Amino acid sequence: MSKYAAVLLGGLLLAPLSPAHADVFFTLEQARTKHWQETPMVEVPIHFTEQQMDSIEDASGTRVFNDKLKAWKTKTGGWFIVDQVIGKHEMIDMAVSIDSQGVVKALDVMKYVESYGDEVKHPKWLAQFTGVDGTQHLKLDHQIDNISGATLSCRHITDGVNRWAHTWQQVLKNL
Amino acid sequence: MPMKKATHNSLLSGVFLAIAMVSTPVLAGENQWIYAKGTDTRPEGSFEFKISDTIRVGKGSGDYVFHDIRPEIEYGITDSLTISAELVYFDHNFSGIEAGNDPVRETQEGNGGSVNEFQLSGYEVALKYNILSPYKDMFGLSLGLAYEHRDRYRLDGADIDQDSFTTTVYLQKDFLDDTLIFVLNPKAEFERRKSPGSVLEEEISLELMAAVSYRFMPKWTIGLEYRSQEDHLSVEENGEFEPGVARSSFDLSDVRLGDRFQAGQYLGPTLHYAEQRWWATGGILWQFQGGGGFSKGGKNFDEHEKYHAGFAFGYEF
Repeated sequence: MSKYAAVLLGGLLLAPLSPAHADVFFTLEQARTKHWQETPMVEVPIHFTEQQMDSIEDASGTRVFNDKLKAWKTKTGGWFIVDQVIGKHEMIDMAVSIDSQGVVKALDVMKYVESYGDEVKHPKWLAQFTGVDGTQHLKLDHQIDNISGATLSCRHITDGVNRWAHTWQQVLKNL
Repeated sequence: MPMKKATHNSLLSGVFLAIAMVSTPVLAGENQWIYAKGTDTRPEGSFEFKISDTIRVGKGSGDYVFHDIRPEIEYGITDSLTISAELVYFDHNFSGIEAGNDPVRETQEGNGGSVNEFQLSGYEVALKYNILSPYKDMFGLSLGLAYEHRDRYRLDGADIDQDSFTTTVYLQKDFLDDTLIFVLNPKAEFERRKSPGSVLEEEISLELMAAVSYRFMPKWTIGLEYRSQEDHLSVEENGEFEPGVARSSFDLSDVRLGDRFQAGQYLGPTLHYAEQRWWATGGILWQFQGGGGFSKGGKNFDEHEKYHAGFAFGYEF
């Protein structure tokens, strides 16, 4: 059994157990400044009712898995939202800004902890989402280009934008 | 008597370990179950090191523990095509297997004595090609092709000379934002095995793996796995085939599936944990039904065991 143990231990030693580190691309303040510069805004506590969650899900075709949303509103009716979408193993932290007409103004990946697929943080790929609103349902390989090797993350960020656009439509624009 | 391949295997071990050691940290695709696999292939240019130990326990008599240990390297040739290479180590510990269970008792220890052997037993190279993605298509689909060479018999570690080709279809369907995953893997293995003496065995092994997993919290996935395996065996001794048995053949000019020799079905839970750079999976599958060959109480115990406990660890480079 000693040789058996040696193979297992040898195998494990070949794989250095470095502690996992999260790739933080933007802090909350950095993302807010990037999207809105110094525009003043106030945090608005959002707690969805079941009916609101259902209507967002129906309109966006995407599951609403959290009944709370971290959101800030500007004086001109724009919104800055910090939320999460599903990654392969963990959640991906996102920052999205929506203007007073419900149009996506900016989108950024704040934190990404998966081992691959972080190409979704590239501004060129994220730029596909600026200017969209809830009038069309975004789909990967249709309105949004996929990144090969990062398909799961691309899909969930696309779903996230559909969800936020309809969150504005169903809830935020009335606040 | 097949020639021993110790030198050949030592060389392979050296090459394999050298590749593993010089690999610099880069990226993942992972085993969520013991046998079943999803349709993911590795991102282009990324490596993963894996090591798995499938422990097969219990032959319905005596004591039987067999470790099937496989260190493996996977590499993404393109985002859709992954190549992998693994070494196969067998560790057999058994004693007191009753007469009649010939595959374990007769080949090496005709007296029913005890065996305790750890051996480098072969290697496998495999390709996996992704056609449809479960994240953007109706379902996921990948195809696999593998070649394996063994010079130790899986059941008892005896000298053999075996070559096999395996074809696998990987199907995957995701639900609930990809947190609930169903997979199905039909697999056909074509084996040609020479044993000591003048025995040639040709075997078509058919497997079906079906599994489900649910990510119940970030990093943690629980699963349930089913595995069915049966083989269709043709034994040729001194140029004569076994009388009364419809033979299987996979010569290009003569492909046919003969009588089924044995079958076994397993079911059990799995648990999977993933960090950014590494993951680990454990599970246990019990044989709940089997037949043919040497069977007792509705279970098969020559090619199959009472239960299989599996552990796997992967590190992404």
